[in-house]
Amino acid sequence: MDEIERLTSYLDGELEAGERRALEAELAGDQALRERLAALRGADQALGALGATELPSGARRRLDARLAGVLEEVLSTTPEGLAAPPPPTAATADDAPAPSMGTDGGDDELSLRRRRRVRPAVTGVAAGLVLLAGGLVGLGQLDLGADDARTAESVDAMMSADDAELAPAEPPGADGEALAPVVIDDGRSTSTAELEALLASPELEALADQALSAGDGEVVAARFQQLLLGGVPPMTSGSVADAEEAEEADRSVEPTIVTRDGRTLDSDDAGDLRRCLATLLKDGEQAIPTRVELLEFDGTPAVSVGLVTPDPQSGAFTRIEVWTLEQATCQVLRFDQV
Amino acid sequence: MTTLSLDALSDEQVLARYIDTGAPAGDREAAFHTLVDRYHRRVFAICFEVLRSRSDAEDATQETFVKLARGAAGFRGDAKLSTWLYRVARNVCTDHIRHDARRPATPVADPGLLDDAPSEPDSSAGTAEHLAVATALDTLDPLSRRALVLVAVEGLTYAEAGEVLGLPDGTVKSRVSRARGRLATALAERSRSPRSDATPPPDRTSHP
Repeated sequence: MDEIERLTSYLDGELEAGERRALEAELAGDQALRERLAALRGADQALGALGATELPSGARRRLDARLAGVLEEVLSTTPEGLAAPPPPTAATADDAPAPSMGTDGGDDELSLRRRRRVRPAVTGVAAGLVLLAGGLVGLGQLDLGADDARTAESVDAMMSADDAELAPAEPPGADGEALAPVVIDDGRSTSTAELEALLASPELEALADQALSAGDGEVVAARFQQLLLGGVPPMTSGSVADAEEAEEADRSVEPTIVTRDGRTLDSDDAGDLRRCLATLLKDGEQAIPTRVELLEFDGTPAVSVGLVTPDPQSGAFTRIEVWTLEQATCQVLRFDQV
Repeated sequence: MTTLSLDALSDEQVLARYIDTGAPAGDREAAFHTLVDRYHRRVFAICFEVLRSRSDAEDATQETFVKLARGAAGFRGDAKLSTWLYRVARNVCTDHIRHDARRPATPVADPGLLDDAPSEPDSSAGTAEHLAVATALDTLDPLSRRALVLVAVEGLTYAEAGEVLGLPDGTVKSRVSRARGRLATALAERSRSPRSDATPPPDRTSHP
């Protein structure tokens, strides 16, 4: 136990009698220690004086109003219609967000994706990802036309067909590298400043400099998301039901994720990465996951995701965002944006 | 009467009444409202601590209870309801942060500070001392700040705070302990030089 833990435990009355007496003896002879204890006590009192957060006025009325319809619907549902508990699996026990949280709007896709990680990847159809060391060299050569359908074809051609047909970890060729997200796992420990510096990563800048049009960006976004998350690319048109059905059908196809130095990520890391990415990219969001890094931030294993997203005004893909999420929980630790 | 008897029940027992499809709808609804009575303020406090905006926190709180209403049948009896509810709140808030910041129509004014933006003016935080504590809290890293506020101000147990933060109890405890120390130092420094500025905002213009 370090000093601060001893002092806080002392104030909380949690020290054993012997430890307490020892500390009191030290306090008696150490003025500086007494001052630190007094400062700690003062801070505790100041915190206590803050008072617990109060509800805004009318909050309960507004909550009841919102719940009225939901409760009516739930309470009128037959027993069969109620959400059943998910099958217990070891993989979901420690990190399941909300077990079987019903059918509340946009959460479905997210929970689908979250659940998907517990399914074993189907061997043989696992798609290999080709990851670049030097950035998105091939991008500038793409024939990105204005017509979405045509663009989709050309991008697909460049990026060589469907997931299921991709050869595992084809090495970058001499004739311009394959177009794919960069995944980095160098065991790096980062500071806040270093996370900010990621905004200037060559991969992100190279893509943002292309200023892809809305249509082209959408195609690349769908493709990159598909390469990392597997399944079908998020739907940009068509009904929600269709998209869900397609995802349901295809969700067992999880791509193998290969880092830029040619290693295959172990399935836990890959699963975490996908889960955090899915947290960021729900609702078929228009964002190109360009650079993903597993690292440590403030002593916590984290996933940093560099996105290129459309500028709200022009619609062109010129914005760079770096999200850092805690690996275990996908909670957002840090967000930077150019 | 139902309400009276509900008061004596544990959270989990109340929840069991709510999901008891054989019970009258009125009783089930009363059971749900009992859970709202017990947790509304605390879920709001958690969401406010994470989102730092009262209106966003209220939205997220509503969403959390909607999820509870719809998903209660999926609750596994081996956890405490409070723990489960806090985890749901955490996920709702995380989604909220992300979704909000990414919504093109409402670009984040200062996204670098998203996680630790200073609190909105709060009617309960008018005094100079409250302001001093709030400012000192803002010098902590976001995780430590949250851990400290949830435990020391909102009264969550280490385990409950751990659920909100996605950290093991022991980690929460040591983080809170260190945060108390750092807060004490920050307050002491502040009282020595009241005008001393907080950490300058990160320089995000270094991007060439």
